[in-house]
Amino acid sequence: MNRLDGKIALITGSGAETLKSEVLGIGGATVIEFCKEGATVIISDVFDKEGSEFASELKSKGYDVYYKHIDVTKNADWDNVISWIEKTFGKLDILVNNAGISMPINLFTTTEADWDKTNDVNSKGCFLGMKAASALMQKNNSGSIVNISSMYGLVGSPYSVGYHASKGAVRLMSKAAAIQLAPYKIRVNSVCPGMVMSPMQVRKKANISSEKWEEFVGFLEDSPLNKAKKEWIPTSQIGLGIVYLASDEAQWVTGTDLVIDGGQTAQ
Amino acid sequence: MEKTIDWIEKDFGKLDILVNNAGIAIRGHVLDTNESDWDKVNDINSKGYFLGTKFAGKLMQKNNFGSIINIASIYAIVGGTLSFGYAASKGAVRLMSKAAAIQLAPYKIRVNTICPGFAATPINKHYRLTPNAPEVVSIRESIPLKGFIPADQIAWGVVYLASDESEWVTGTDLLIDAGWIAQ
Ligand SMILES: NC(=O)c1ccc[n+]([C@@H]2O[C@H](COP(=O)([O-])OP(=O)(O)OC[C@H]3O[C@@H](n4cnc5c(N)ncnc54)[C@H](O)[C@@H]3O)[C@@H](O)[C@H]2O)c1
Repeated sequence: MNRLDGKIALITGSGAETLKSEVLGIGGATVIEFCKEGATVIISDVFDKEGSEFASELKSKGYDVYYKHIDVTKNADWDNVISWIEKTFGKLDILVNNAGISMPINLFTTTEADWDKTNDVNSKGCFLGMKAASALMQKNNSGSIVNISSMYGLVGSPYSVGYHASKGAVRLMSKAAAIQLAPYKIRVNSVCPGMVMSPMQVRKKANISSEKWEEFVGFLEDSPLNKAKKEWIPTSQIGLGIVYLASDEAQWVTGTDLVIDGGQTAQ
Repeated sequence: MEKTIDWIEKDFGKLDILVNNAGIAIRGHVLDTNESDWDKVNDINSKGYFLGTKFAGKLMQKNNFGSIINIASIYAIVGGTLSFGYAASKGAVRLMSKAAAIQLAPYKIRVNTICPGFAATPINKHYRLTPNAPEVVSIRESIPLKGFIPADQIAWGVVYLASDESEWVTGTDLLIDAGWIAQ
């Protein structure tokens, strides 16, 4: 209930859905878990209408939340919001770099533009966010940054080489940042989710043939726990892992990966 | 182990969580490790965890639920200068946890390890007693967060892995090592 009391948290890619949506993304679900633990949360996304609505829904429930526009690939957006946070709260305790995109394409079908777009959002966005946020965290000599990588930052798959590259980059830049920010007591970790039912999957289902979708759902069988439970991982479970890493319970956890994948990459 | 599990079954009818934590550290270079040291450290650290996982797993299986947390070490991941049998035993813990995670997933039993870094526990009492000894200083300086990990911080990691907040976490390692392995 109060594991994040008094903490100011910024979460990217967390405002594309509202409480009325069928399913919340990992970002939105994390916002809710953070609110329940007492944090002040700055929701950010490129969907300003939905993001503002999500923020007012949560405010009406008594939570302390705000919405701000951040396209993670735009340095100016980061600068704006980080200086607003500094002016308004005087500090930033937690950054969750969650914004990300994926494309159901393989090595042969990935164009240069696809590669650039995926790596811009997933990898460069994460770099710009860490840089902007840690400049503020440094002043306070404390902070926790959680970057969302993926089990596809650990192992390969039949899909998207660009996505694998970007998620591998997130994992390793997190470790480098952990070492470089340790002198300021800023911790940096990544979370590697497995098969999660989020809007990303809902869109994938709409965009690919039903055969391809069946093949994709077949991957659930590859994960020991997804197979046993016959379910996808709910986004709230990723949010709870992020709560642990963001909280003072993980004060000595830095430079590592929290894998939440039902055992898929243990085999 | 078997006796205790029987008693738990009789008294509580179920077991939700097992933490395999008991362990010893025998220091020694590969060339100085004698067979009895090897046997002792591997008996307690590795075989002890196997027996725990087996008998607890049997009771958890009846309930189709459970979480087993095996305390490994950063020396389950990389080598060090001063321990050999210990490294072998902790490497065994890490991999037996992954195998058990796969084999027990059908019963919704999760198995994970925690790999602590240099923790300020009684096994390492010299960190506290002689903080300025050259060996202790050089270890501390090698740790990105520049300090020894308090035991309660390891315990919080155990709580996370034991709780329903980690319902989908299995077969993995939670490193609580102040960034040591990341460098
Ligand atoms: N769903 C899974 O199975 C899964 C598995 C592993 C990792 N992930 C990762 O989790 C993260 C969240 O994904 P999700 O599953 O919730 O999908 P999602 O599509 O619901 O969420 C992605 C969010 O990022 C936002 N976004 C996209 N481009 C942006 C940009 N340029 N600037 C700011 N925001 C932007 C979107 O608007 C959306 O809110 C992603 O990084 C994804 O790669 C998801």
